[in-house]
Amino acid sequence: MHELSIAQSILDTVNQQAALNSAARVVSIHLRIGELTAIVHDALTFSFEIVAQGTCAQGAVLEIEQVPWQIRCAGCALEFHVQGANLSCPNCQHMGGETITGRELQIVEMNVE
Amino acid sequence: MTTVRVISNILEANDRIARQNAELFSKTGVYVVNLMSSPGAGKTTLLERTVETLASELRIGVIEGDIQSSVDAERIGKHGIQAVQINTGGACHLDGNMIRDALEEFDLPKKYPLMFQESSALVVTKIDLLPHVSCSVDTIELRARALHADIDIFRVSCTTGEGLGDWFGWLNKRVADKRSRVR
Repeated sequence: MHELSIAQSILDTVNQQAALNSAARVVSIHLRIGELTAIVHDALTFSFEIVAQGTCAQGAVLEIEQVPWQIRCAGCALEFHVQGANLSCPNCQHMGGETITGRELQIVEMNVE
Repeated sequence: MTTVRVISNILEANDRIARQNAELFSKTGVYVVNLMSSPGAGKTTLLERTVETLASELRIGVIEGDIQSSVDAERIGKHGIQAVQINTGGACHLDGNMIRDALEEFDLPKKYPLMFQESSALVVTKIDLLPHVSCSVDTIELRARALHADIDIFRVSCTTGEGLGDWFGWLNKRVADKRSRVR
């Protein structure tokens, strides 16, 4: 259930930004979430609905952009999407490499009124 | 409707506190180990064996995270070590799998890749049970190294004591390194 504390962190930033921009209501929030964070989107959406109650972000829609887990092969430098936890490179079959994307946990932007 | 550009890391506040903690540990020469696993893998047992052996040479403190009880901290406290229990007061995200076979820890490199990328060591516990289960530690090592080429790997049994010496040696070296770097 780490989604609940993440929802609370999102809300804190969103409320702060809403106040800074003199917004009365937050309509939607664009999030970028990497595959490796193991966040369950439904659980996050549900948690956010609960924590946002009674704030200007109540009813705001979470638009979640899932960022794929990409690694750069340590053997041939090919960048590929890891699927089904299969770490072997489709080009040279080497196992593993440096993670390029997939660890994101960001608020990108939000729409306010 | 107005669009507000935010670009902020969601766990920024947490990261800030974590950095402050890390600074404090560096300044005081405290080596901190974060022990992670699925439930039932044997973290507390490994800790018990470790403090039993190292308490005479090192000053050790333990912070235990648990959902509700203080059983783990009591187990550690029995060895004359100061132990603090943090109760998370909620289900951990593995709740649906709590009762599964403790040996499922062996599938971890597949399930939680990020944990292996970030960890400096992997301790495979309960190796005394290997003759009775279908599990290849070599496969685990291969996967862990694919995620983190430099990870240090230990195969231990807290029941027979096998492999624990290497683990203690690793800890001792890390503690000494940390202390030697105090400004």
